[in-house]
Amino acid sequence: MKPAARTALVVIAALIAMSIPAAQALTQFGMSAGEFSSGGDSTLRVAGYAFSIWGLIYIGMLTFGIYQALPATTESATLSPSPGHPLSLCPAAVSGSLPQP
Amino acid sequence: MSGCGFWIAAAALNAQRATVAIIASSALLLVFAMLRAPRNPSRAQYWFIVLPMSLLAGWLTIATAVNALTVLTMTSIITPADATLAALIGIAVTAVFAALVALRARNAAYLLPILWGLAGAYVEESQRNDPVANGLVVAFAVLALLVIVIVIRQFGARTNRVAALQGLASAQNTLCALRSTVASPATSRE
Repeated sequence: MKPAARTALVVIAALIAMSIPAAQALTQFGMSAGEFSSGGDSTLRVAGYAFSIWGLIYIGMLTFGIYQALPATTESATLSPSPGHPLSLCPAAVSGSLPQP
Repeated sequence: MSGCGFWIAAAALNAQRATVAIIASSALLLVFAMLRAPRNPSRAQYWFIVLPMSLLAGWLTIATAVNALTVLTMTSIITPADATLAALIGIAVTAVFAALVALRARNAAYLLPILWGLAGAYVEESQRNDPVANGLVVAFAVLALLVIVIVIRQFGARTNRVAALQGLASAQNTLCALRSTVASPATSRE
């Protein structure tokens, strides 16, 4: 039996990870990630297209959230240590580590 | 946990050091989780948990270095005179850290986004800073080689497991044949 708390954490984290950047982009709140990093990218700059990897990462986070939420998904040793397992925190934790420039 | 979504807000508010703290802690949490994960997940667990989180962990590892260098440059801790050395140190630290994590976790997928990020940085740096571009090429080559080594090792381990299972099945068949011979000696003599 998988813990309900962890399932909820993973799903909420995945939702937060995807909704915060969307909300920021829609409301244009403050500086965008690109504007933020353009002020200091003279030391090491990454080509803009490299950040397209976020599409794949979002699909992965969504997949993880859905998989975790499915009733058929059984307890996973990959996540079993505790409801507060770091993996459940991560998608939300990185909602910000979004495309820089 | 709700505080974890603050990177965008921190960037929007130009809270430079906060962005580094958030992205670095996120990367470390993921790496920690990856190192604790069991080595032989089921196929579903690999595709739906391990792979997506490994890709995320890899990208965050290189993004942490880029974000840290960006903020250090913004705050003038890295001056234009130090920029090349600082970039090379950042690349080296990232490559060594990533190599150690990938070897420990035996996870080649973790390295793929790092290779992608190094390639993306090379595209930009090759047009303006040759030493940094060369450093990126070296890091890329080392980590790409490591991907190949990890994949070959995993393939070898899987082949060994299959061979062991086949050997076991063969031994079981022999045992069954022996048993049936012992159980019906008269029939076999006839």
